[in-house]
Amino acid sequence: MTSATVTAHEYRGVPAWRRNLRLHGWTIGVWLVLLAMVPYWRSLSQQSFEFDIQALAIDALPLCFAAMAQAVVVISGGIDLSVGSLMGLMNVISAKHMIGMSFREAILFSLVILLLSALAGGFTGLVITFTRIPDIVVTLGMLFVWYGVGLWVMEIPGGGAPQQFYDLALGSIGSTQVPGAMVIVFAALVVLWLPIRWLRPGLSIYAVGSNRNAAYLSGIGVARTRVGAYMLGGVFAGLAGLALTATAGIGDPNSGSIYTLNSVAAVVLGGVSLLGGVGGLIGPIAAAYILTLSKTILLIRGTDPNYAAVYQGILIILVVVIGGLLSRKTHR
Amino acid sequence: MSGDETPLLAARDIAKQYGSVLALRSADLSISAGEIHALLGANGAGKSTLVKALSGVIRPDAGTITVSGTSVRPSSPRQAARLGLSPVFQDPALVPDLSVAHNLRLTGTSVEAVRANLASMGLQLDLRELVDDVPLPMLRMLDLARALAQDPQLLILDEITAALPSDLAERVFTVMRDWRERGRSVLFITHRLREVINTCDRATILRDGVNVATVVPQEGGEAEIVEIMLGPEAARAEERAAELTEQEAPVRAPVATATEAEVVLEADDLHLGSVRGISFALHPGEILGIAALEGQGQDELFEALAGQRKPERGEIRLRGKPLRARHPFDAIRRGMVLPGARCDVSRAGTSRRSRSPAGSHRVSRYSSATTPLEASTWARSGRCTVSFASWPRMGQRSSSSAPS
Amino acid sequence: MTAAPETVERESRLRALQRFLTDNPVVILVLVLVALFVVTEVVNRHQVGEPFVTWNQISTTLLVAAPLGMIAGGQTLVMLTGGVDLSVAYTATAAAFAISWQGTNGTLEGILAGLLVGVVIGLANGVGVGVFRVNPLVMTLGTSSVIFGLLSIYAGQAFEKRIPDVVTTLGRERFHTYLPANTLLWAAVAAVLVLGLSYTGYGRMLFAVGDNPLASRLAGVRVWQVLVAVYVLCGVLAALGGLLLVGFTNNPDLSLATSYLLPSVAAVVIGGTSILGGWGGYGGTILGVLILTVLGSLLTLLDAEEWERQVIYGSIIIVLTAIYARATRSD
Repeated sequence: MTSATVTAHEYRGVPAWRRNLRLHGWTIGVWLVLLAMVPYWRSLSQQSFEFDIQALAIDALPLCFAAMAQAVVVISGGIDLSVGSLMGLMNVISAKHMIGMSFREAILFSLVILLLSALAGGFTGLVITFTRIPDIVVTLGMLFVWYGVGLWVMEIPGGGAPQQFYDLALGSIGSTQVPGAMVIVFAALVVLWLPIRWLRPGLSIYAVGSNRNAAYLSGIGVARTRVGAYMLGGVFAGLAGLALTATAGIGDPNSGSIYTLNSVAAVVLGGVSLLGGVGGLIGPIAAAYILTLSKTILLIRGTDPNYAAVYQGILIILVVVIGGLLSRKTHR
Repeated sequence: MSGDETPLLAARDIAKQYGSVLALRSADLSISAGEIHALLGANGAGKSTLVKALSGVIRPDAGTITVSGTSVRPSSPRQAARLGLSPVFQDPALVPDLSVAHNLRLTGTSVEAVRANLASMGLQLDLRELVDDVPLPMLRMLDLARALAQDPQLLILDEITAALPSDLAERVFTVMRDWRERGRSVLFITHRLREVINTCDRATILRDGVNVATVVPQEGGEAEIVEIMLGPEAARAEERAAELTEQEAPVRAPVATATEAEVVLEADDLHLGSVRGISFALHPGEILGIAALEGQGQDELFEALAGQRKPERGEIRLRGKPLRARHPFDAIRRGMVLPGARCDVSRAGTSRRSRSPAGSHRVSRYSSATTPLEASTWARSGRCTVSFASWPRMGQRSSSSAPS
Repeated sequence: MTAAPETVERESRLRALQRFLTDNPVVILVLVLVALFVVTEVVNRHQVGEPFVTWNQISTTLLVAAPLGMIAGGQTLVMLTGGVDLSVAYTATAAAFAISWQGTNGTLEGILAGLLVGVVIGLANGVGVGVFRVNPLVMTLGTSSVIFGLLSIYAGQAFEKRIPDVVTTLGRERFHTYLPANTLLWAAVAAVLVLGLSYTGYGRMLFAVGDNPLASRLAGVRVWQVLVAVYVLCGVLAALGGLLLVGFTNNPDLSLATSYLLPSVAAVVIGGTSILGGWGGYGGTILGVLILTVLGSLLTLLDAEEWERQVIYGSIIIVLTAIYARATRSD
């Protein structure tokens, strides 16, 4: 019996391009798909580019943040079914209190909102790590809880915010070709995520999602990291709730409900593995734009907007099937 | 190593129970400064549990641990490292989806130190590699380099050589001896007694969660250690099994008739993963033992025989007809029986679904296909067996094997 | 280990209790259900001055619970394999529409059309999960998006509807004043599920696949076939749930079963089926369904506001699962 041994010192390693393809291929691919959609969209649209991109940025703003919230949690190996209702809760709290405020007060109050939603997310994380019930069950429970609290805060849609606050999301920055809503998304990415992404806190989130046991043996506080991921997810959910206030103009306890499942869709489309530990936040942002843009395109073409749901469902399934087949091929 | 000075590490009466399983009853361990100390015992004797208790992975139910005379209670691997105890666990403690460099940053290990350690062991590795892409032996060496980089008083190596080819294992021994020369200590866990006799100053032997003896390996030799490890009862049971097989069953068909007899199972130049050209033929009544180091292709061979994976080249023939199984179901229908199918094939250490660290029950990598007794009964009825075992596995020696 | 003898004894008694609960997890749920009935009884006597636990009320509870029981039945099977089916609500709604649409051609056609919808959707889910190995969450999310889109396109158009009499009888009639027809169907389905899970080879395969797909495969189980079958079964059970619902309301509606999606998961989870697969059963789910239903009546009785309902509902999922997990955890 002969069996050749692959000894370590002969090991040549994986070529850098293959490694980079594996690490960043999906993200680049999603952005390319988004870019490829633009010419088609422009060829259909009657409106000016400024108007269109502004509309797209505004439409996609809440979903972008919801996707980022979901992505952080999923990377840490969890899943958050309460993202939508937490967004809704933050939406009604902000709309209820901001209506009589000056712009400056509204901005300060936004920080309070972010703090609240971070605490809410952290609470979810604590319940999960403390009770050791699977994430999906706890966040399913929290979905009802946050929705209920939202109804308590505001039963019927109402409230509002100062005009300048709306303008943050509805206006543009510098040139009219740069929508404020898009700038906000990337600003949040740069401020909240990128600084920790490659440092211990960020790496810990990846480690815990990738292999909890190895992470623990590496000396990472697994529970602490998971709670942290839910807190950061909460911050993004809070931003999403504020985005709802700014783009819709009012508070509505039901406004967040569609975002839970859509955020999962965006995360999957954006290349985050539901098993955890793989992906980033940049892919899901592109996916959020793709999902929004595909709806817009159907609308322009005069197709029954309900087809958007059909196409979206098929798109998500196809992407995951193809992605699965591709990764199986490169892995073996 | 005189008994008067305070030992570097002393563990007393350590006990740990997982659910209804008593993993450690009452274990003592004392390691002096500047010695290589072996921890020995059959499977399930409690070696790994003791290591986990020392390195803060689990909290023992009872017992005390002192480091250089001061009582400590390490509650996490990080804290243990601060106390000067650096473990290399049985499973790689590296996160698969991150690069090697990120893993180092995660543990706060100096990249330069690790690179220097790897270089001194004659190894090269691009630290930007994803851990998932790096082969297991290299990961083990990386684990070692990382543990060394923390400059520990006590280096704890839990079955590190199990997955290493002999040249790399040799380098580990060099590192251990260097470490001893610097006045530091090593706690070394292994199944290979030869390594213990060649390298270790003293050995503590565990049996059923209790330390039964501390010996100087060079003096007693392999036989003494095995006897202590297995205990009188196990030794008797072995004897009985041997008698049984001798009296009632001439297991091996005479070689002359075997060549004439019909070939039941035949592997012809199999290629699959690290399996490169395995061929064998099995006749009725034969038992074929397959023994190999971890990751030398036995997993793939098993998967091929089970119909789980298709060989890249070569053929498996059952009674002369090729077994082109697309699913284990096909293999089973053709008469292959796979008791003790290993569940967590080959990636037990890095699988994503490993549950919570504390209660993690390691999936046995090598449950041999059958126990020796079962295999011989099976053989007597004219059927044949391929028996997989890690090598050398104490107290579970293959009762007979046919030449391949 | 050294411990005082009395603590050892107390510990062993505690352990014995724990073992008893681990072996009979349903006991906890029965206790919770009984407690809920008692509380409701007390509240009802206090507020209305009448007993709550009457034959009539029990009969109503069952009538309300049966559709959820059906839908949660499919969910139980899927969750035993380690998956989850988020398309059950729209499957039920789609089946309801199919019944009322084909009901114009005859009773049998209507019912068959409804069940066919369940089979087709289940087949799509099963092929995605079993053959293409799509994550169940994503797969069923995708199909529910597709069904929702198609439903809102076609259900919005005017078409002739007729819900067969058999269906309305099943959905709302009670025999001998106290025995709801839908409960009879539910009982039959429940018997098949409970017995099937414990005594048939397929039932045991469901547990095996949920527990360890790779080991099941090595043992010769064709995992993909088991998965396809389980999602088809789930689709059919959801369609049956839709049948009962449309029989009750007598009018198909886009939001007919929407509110049943999360409760179907909640009932299974409360019933002690592990969301990770391989552990649980339909018996617990039945109790989970009843608990949710009685809780609903209690909250109505208490005149709870909608927000209070939601918060209590969410908390109860978490609290019950936590108690349950703690009581039955083996280590």
